[in-house]
Amino acid sequence: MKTLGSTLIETRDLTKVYLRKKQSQVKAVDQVDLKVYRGESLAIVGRSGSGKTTLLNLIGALDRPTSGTVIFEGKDLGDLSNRELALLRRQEVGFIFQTFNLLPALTALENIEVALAPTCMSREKRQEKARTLLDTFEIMDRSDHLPLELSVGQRQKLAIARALARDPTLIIADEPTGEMDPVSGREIATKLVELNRKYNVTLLVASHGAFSYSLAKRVLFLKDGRLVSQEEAGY
Amino acid sequence: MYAHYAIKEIRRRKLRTLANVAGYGAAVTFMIVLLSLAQAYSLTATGVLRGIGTHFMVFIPVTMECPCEFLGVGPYIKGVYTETFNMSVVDAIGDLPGVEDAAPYYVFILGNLTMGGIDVNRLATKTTAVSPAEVMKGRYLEDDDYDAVLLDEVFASLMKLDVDDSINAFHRTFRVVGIVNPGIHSRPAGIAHMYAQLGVVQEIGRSYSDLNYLIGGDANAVLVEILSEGDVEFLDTVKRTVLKTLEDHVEKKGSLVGYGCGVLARNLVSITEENAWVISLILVASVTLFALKSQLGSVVERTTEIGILKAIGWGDSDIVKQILIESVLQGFTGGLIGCCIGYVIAFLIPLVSLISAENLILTVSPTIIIAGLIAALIGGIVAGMIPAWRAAKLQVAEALRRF
Repeated sequence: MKTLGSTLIETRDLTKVYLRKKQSQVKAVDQVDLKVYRGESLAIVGRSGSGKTTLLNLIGALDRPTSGTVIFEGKDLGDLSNRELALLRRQEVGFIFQTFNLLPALTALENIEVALAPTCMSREKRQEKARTLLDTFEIMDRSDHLPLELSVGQRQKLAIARALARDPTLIIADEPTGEMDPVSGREIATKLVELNRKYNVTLLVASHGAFSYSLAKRVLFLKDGRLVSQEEAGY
Repeated sequence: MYAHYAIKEIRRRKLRTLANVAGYGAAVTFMIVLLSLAQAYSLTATGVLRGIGTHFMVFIPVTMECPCEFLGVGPYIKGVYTETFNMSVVDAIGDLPGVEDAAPYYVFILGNLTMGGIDVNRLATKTTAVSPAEVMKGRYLEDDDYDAVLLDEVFASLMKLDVDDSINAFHRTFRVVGIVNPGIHSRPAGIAHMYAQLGVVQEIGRSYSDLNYLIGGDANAVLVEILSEGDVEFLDTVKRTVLKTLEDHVEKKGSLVGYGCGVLARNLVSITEENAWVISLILVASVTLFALKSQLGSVVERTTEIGILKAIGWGDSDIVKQILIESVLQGFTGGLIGCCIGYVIAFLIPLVSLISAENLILTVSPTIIIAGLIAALIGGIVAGMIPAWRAAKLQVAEALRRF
């Protein structure tokens, strides 16, 4: 059982600069110092373009910073090779995207299975695990459906199920309810809170709505790539 | 999972897949038909060219004059008195590598009349001396035709002889059973005025040898037919080995009469086949380039999906594997379809008489089928390699942003 309190992620002076055409630079993340503790649920709030997604990408090892460091479970991600980063994403991080990012050619069951493909798991075990997750999110009856044949809420449930396929330490959700109606959004938020409470999974959510307050224990405010304030929210 | 996902992706991108598979299929079809035609042509051409270049005659010239009291009588070839030898050397030559058949030949001259003794059942006799195909009138010699002869057409015309007529020669009476025009085939052996069973000429030869206290052998020349495979060097090596075998046996210097055209013929045959291979491989390479471009397009289209796969933990090698499997599957499917269509077309060509060459035997050899499949597979691998590498090198966040 992972205990709440120890540091899971720490960023120091984290900066990401995008070069736009010649000589034009955009600082998407600007000298962010941040600590994420095991088992906590943390919301990053900010307007569109404030750098939330970039910060999540850097923390989740999807991108490399221009400067500064991300320390994940004591390992500096800057020291890891592409292969090691892929392994870290595979073993430690589950991603949930605003646009679900499901693979359109694969069925619901296969979309979960595909996350388990690069492991040594047998096909039977992969399918068993995928079925269990579909059952947990009450979309088992849609296991043979393609993502386009699912409702928006079902797609996001499927995306969460896929993120959980490898029992990650950290779930990174980028605007997980952004594409949904309020009812479906609340259902998904409840699921995420449940995950955090029940399985002690660390939850890092980016959102630009007040909804974050009901979801996270701690809320960080991001403006122009800088961390401007934080407050305890409490669900 | 990789193969399963690859099949799903292939099916999802129907038009792109169809274009790639059709390209591979067309290339392999073309390759199979072209190579089969080239091979069939080569076989047919070799069959014809065999009559020119793959046979020859070896003998041992001794002196210009017969070492006997009768001038112009004896085993002469090309106006030269020759050594006779026994059948064992003919059998030894027949067993040499590269030799398809070796036949004894006994040319005996009496005055201005030449008689060729032939073994009618041997292939080398038919390709080098006289064959049933060259019978202009009547029939070819049969096994028990001991009092029968075949007459050269010109000689028969001069002597006003026809089939079923009788002719007195070599102190015997023979019945004419056929008129022949050996033409080009008889050139290495020289045209005889008449052809009889080998045994008959051997008897004639021995009686004259006894008369002159000479040792009479079974034949004074060996007709040789060599395998139609192999290149010019092979042809040359076999010829030299055959001559040396005879020379070692008789312990005298021998002579070989054949055609230099054999070299040209073999070069022609190999050029035809080589060209077919080159054209086919160029075609497969072109299709591979087309497929490569298509696969690159597919990777660009799927940038986000590749980003998703990487985000959920797929490594570079997993991505490479995935793209390569898709490409190889398309190449293999196209190759398989191409083999089937190529086989059917190759089967149909002789039926619909698209090729006018007589005796063209069009068969698709397993080698060509395997070569077609391998070419398509290699094409699939090559076409997949660069796109797979590019996909693997995509930055995850950048790939996901391209949504």
